[in-house]
Amino acid sequence: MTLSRRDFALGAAASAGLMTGGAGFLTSAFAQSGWVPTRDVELVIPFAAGGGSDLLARIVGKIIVEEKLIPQPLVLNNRPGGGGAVGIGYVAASRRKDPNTIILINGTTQITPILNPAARTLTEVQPIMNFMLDDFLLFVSGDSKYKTAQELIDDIKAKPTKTFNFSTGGTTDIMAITVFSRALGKDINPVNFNSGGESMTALLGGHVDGTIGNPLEFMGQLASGKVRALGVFRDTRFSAMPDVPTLKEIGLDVPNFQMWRGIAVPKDVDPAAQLYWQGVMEKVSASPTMKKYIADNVATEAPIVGAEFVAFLAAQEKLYRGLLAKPA
Amino acid sequence: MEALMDLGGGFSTALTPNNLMMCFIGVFLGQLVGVLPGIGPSAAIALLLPLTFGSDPTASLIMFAGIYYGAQYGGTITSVLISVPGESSTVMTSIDGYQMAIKGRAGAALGIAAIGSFIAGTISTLGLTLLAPPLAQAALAFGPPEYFALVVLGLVALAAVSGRSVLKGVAAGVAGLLLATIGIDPQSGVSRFDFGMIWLLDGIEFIVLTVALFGVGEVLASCTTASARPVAEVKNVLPTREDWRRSRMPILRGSFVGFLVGVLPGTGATIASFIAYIMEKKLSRHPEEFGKGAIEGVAGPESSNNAAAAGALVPMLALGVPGSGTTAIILGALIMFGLRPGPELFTQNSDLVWAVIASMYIGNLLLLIMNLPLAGFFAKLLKVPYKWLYPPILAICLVGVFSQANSLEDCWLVVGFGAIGWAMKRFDWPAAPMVLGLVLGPMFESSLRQSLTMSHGTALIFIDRPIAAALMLAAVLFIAIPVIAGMLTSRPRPASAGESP
Amino acid sequence: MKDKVLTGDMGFAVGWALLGLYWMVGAFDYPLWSGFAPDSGFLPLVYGTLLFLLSAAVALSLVFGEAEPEEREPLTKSLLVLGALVVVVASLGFIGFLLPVFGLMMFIYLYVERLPLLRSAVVAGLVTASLALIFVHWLSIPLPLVTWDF
Repeated sequence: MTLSRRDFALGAAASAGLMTGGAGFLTSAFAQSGWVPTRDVELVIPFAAGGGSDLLARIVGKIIVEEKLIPQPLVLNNRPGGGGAVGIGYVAASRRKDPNTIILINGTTQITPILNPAARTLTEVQPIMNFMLDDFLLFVSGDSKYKTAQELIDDIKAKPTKTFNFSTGGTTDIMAITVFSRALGKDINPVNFNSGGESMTALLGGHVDGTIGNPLEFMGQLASGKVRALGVFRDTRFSAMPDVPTLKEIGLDVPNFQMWRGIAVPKDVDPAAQLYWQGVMEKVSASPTMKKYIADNVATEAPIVGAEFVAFLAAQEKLYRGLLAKPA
Repeated sequence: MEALMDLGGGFSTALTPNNLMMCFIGVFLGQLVGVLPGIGPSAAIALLLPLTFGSDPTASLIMFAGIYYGAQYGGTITSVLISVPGESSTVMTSIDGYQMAIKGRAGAALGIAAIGSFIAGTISTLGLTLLAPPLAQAALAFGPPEYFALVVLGLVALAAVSGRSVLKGVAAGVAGLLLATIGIDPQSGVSRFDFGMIWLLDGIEFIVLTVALFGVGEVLASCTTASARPVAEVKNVLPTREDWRRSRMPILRGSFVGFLVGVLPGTGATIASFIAYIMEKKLSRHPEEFGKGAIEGVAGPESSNNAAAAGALVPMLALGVPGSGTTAIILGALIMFGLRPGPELFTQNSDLVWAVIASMYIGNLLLLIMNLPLAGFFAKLLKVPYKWLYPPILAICLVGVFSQANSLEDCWLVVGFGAIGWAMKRFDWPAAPMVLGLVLGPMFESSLRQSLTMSHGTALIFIDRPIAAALMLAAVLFIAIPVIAGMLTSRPRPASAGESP
Repeated sequence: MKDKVLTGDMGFAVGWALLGLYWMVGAFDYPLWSGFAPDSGFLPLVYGTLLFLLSAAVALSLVFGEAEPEEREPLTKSLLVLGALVVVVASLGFIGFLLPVFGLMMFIYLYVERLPLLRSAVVAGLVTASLALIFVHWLSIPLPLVTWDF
């Protein structure tokens, strides 16, 4: 065999989502609460392999396995479909009360049921911990005549409504545009694309006047000057882009708009198991790998645990419903 | 030339034992996931990603690229042997490749596919080497109106893949478009025609429909004659001189078209293979052989999908823009390695970029060396009588489709559409236009709506912009020329290609 | 024979026409136009109408065109295989993947094709084992296995 054993093992294990943790160790989380996983733990990812949330779940899995945070093997299970609805539905239907199942949740899984009443809502799961918030920035093309957000805002306000075309890469981008145009008091014309990548491509090709998107996808373009960031949708500037002001700084009253990503367990899981998972996830959140991942993503670290997370989600739900004009 | 100097440096990196090994693992894994229907290169790369976290980015990227273009080789094998496309980009191969296999010429089909893929992969890697930055910049001129015009051109070509009955072909194409509207409308977020089923929110997956129509449908249609069916006499395992003469030009044309289509950020290997097939059928001097085992119908699309895989790396490496679903995941990998994909990747990480490009020359050569003997080996599989062969085919279809989204509902779809595919074969409705409709449907709808939104409601945007106008004109000529030619020679028949949407 | 051929052909075309009709009616559940561009219902309406018209045209051409009476293969075997597939998929959720897939192959080999038992069992067993090896072991697809994990 020319294939060395190690490389082959890499290939095989690689294709394997089954990551076996070593046996015979105790964690402090185990000591804290009375419960430990009783069999293989299933991490359900309600999205297809390859997206941002899938990657986050895989990083969480990697940290859990490498730092030996649980005494059982961890199996990753992608249940993609319907903006997270299929995965949530799967957990709600066939993993009810199962403390050995954890599921990745994010803003999309909260927005889907607002738009599609058929989809299961997040009340079907028990939120455990939030890890991070994705941010939004206002971008124009590098050769745009607008050098600052102020110039752009003045021009939007001066022209008739819906004159400006902004590309979007999904529902969350459309919501960000709604936030922005409500603050302006003028409608922007959103041209909807299927992904952040397509949205950016349309901006680079000069097919739209501007866009609002996650900073991650634009970092390389920013560095080369192909696109220009004009404003930040959060309270503080980014350390990676110290020159880009927040929209609040330039006097535009936009509410903070960020997308969260975290972990939940099925509904009605034993409180001891909930406590156990909070302990594990706090360790995941504190690990250098997670901090590096969030920094690489130009996102905001936001560890929010347990009841606080539930309250945070309720507030987000209200914000989303307001933006989508779908009251509860 | 500077590019060649850089490439030399790239080769010295790519030829280190470790990188060579990663290249081999990549193309090997790519070949494997290519053969399996359902699981594709994007899923394979996504599964490998966390394991490469923290290792050498160059080696990992060499492996990922290998998986991507290796899968295009692998998908051919099942398409030719059992009419089950292993990848979405090898659907067109299931038409003529499978007919060749029935005639005992599977070896020739697989051989020409491997040679064509190698030539196309090398030509388009050369294109990537020399032309990446200017081409990528030019591709950005394609906005929604241009994509709309391109899709219109593709839909007009529906008639070309319709086989005997144009009317049935167009109807099947519209049925594909109609099925494409199932699920969440990406433009408005509303769910359409989901029959209250959560699992239909994402619509009908393309690979599920193709495995059902081509794989299960074919089995259901031909199992009745299984015991009577003579065992294919496997002759001339490798392509003959005559095969080569007929395939030369399709391979070249497929390479160029595939590369250009691949460079466009909104299209990919699947659409490239459709275009190549249609083009070969139009240009052929014996179009009546298409669908009955024309080697051009294998050589063209197979070259084209490989060229498109390398083409899709052009916008990714030169601009940091994803050219296809798989390159979007590779972009994610770049970010994970702490690189910033964007226009400066070529200058700031030139070692890495050139090593990956150099590895693609090596990987394509490895795939050729691997596939030529395999072609002979796999062709001999068809010596197994069909009655022994078709039950395992059904098993592979079921397991493969399940693995695509871990969904039992997809297995039901495969059985349901398998029955429909059987009926379509029985009543002489062509399946290829339906698949084409399902692929082009979402792009048709979103580019139409995006264009009209951009233009504030005026359809003039499709003729004001030169590229869109040229493509539209081509579509009109596509319909008009056969119609006019028909009018000149004989009385026109009603209900011809003019009815296509 | 000719009548029978026509019935199947006709029924199939009518089936597509009905699907088109369903889409035409269903499209009105969604907004047809919003702002500058077509909305969710517009293209489904167009597709439904086109499919209805085209399939109706196919059906009409069957009535008025001269149908060539073609000899068709008997249905029994295909229906048996199709029925087996339905049973297999229905049981997947309950007893896992491997048993039904093995059973499917055995059923076709033994009952449909009347092949020798020993060779059938060996072939079916080998195929099942390699599928399990590739998908479950290498690719770690969570195929529903036998439900020992309650």
